[in-house]
Amino acid sequence: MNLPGQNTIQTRDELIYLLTEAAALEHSLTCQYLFAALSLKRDTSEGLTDEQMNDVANWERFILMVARQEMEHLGLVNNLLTAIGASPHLLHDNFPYPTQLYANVMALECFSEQTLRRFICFERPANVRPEDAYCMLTPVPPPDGLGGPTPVNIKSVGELYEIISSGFQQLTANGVNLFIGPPKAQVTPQELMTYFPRVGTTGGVWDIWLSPITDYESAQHAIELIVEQGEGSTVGGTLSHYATFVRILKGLQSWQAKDPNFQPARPVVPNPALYVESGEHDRTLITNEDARLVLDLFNGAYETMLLMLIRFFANTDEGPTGLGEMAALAFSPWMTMVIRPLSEVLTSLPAFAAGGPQRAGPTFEIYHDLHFLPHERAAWQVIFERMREMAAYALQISQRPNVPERMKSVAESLRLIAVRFQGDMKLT
Amino acid sequence: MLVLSFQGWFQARFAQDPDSPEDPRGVSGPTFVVPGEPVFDRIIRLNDFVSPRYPRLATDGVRVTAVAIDNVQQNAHPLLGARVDLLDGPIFHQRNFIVVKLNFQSPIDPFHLRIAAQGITIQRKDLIDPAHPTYTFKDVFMNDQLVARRGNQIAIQSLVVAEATGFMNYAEVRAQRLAELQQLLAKTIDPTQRAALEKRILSIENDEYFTGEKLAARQFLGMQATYGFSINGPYVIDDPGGQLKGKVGTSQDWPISFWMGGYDVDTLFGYIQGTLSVPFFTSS
Repeated sequence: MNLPGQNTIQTRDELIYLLTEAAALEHSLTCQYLFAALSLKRDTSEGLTDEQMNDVANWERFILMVARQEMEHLGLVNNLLTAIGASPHLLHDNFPYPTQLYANVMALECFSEQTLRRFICFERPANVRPEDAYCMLTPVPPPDGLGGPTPVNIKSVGELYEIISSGFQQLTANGVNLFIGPPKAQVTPQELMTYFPRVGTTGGVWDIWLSPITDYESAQHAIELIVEQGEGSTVGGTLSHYATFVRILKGLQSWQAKDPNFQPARPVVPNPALYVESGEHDRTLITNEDARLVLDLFNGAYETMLLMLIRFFANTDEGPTGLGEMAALAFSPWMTMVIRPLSEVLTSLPAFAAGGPQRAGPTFEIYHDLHFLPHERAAWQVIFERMREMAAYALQISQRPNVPERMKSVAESLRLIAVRFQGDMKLT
Repeated sequence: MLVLSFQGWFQARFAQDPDSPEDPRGVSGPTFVVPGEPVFDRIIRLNDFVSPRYPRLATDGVRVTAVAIDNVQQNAHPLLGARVDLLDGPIFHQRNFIVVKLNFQSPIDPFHLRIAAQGITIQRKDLIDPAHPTYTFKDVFMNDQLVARRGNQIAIQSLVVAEATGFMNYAEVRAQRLAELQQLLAKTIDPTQRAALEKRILSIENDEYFTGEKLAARQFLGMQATYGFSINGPYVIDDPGGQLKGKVGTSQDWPISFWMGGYDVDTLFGYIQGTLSVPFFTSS
């Protein structure tokens, strides 16, 4: 096997390796962008003027759109993995962790000029020099003591997709029968309920465009879409993630010039964690009791979502009902009615038991390997029991005196999701 | 039969996906509060609007526009021009596909209709589950029959909506609104009102970046949700002086059929048009 570190792809395995790296990257970027967006202040009671709040809300709107498109990229990359017969990849390292990319660290940090610069570096088009995109020029050295393949020596997201695209091209030219995976195990607009006709299009709801991968052309189309939207567009058009972050940075700098005390974000601690190992100094242990409970619930909800997504992407014996149900719950309901509201509750809670202005935040921690639940009805039962447990837990948390009122509606959403899942899947 | 036709603008202030409908201010969906407004409460109002926005500042609410008795149009009837209201804080139920599974399905609950004018009140509440009068939509959402009864049909680019609202070309409506808001901003001095207009202007200008939201905003202008069921629950009939000149049937259900559509994400108003049929025995 030609090792990926040599930046060429000659086998299906090597393509799978790089697509897996891409999936982890897209997932990681999604979490980082969501964290920054959801750290922004909510209204003028937090010390902003109406004018400032208009811009802050607009920045949040844009960053959430970028985060949705990163989720779209994660979906497309997993479609690519499925299409070539591999298993989906829906995991990432716990934050923070070093990266070979120029931004040099994957970290959960609240919205700030420093954070935006890191995002700009991530999304840098190929024709912008790293130093002009705030990239750190001193690369992080690769970790020692490797027992496996040499890590990919890739400096930018664009470079990664360029190699992946070439890989598809090369393997197809070599006559490899690449597209052997089932189209029905891919995310399409049907699963997201975004496939409805209107003038000019059938997709594009929430500014995401998903498509199934069935052949070389559809694979290249997916990669081109990812690149064009932001991870390495050669021209960095105004709709790109790069241009979006640059615009936001300029807006932030403009306000800071007018008002040096301008603080658009809540003081959310960097890289919050529910558990910290001794010797770990780069993560912030959350100690406020209410915040810990909500964080525990958040991590459980995040894991459950990943289990549903893994089951969806890697489905084997799922009939149309099961697939539809998994998709129907994992995407819009779970993400918009559970994950995001819990994140927003967290940034309104104190981080520390001792008090202080610092706030907690979502950690996206994954504590153990999340495995594919292989047997359909058993998988549904396991997922349902998690939903029911979380609903009860959320209700308990919502009754605590210092927990925001919003927790009640999250608890209700979890209860209704559990009721729906139990009824639709005929579970006990 | 007493048939009361009604129409007019309604207001519904709520966040839309990808926001949660319980989001108090709207961030990533097409609807949002602006400076000077209270947070979203999701309530469907046919009158007594909350912080209406230009061009709906002086909009009349929903009124009875025609009255027919046994298929004969009444040119002078005490209920002509009557106010039509939905009581008890009704909302659209969807919860981002938790309680309904199909796109654009939005049952309204509670559904408690009141028509009142000149001292006359005709009012009735629909029970979503007659066997359990206190049940709300959340109690019955897994019962397909009960949900379907209160559900709606959907049409996009509706001719009926276009002619009722004047929204004949959706892109032009947005462009024209942008121009009007910019003109209004140029004449506005109050800082909060200016910030409110700036936020609305920015949202329409963002159509350049948010293709999905632009399409949603245009689509809603032409979308029509049609409902039809028979109102079955407790009623109030108040007709001092016998102005109705007949007796309203209360042992029978009252069929209602209406559409809601032409929802403008900039003003948070839509249009409603429908008929209520009330069993009626004319006094001789």
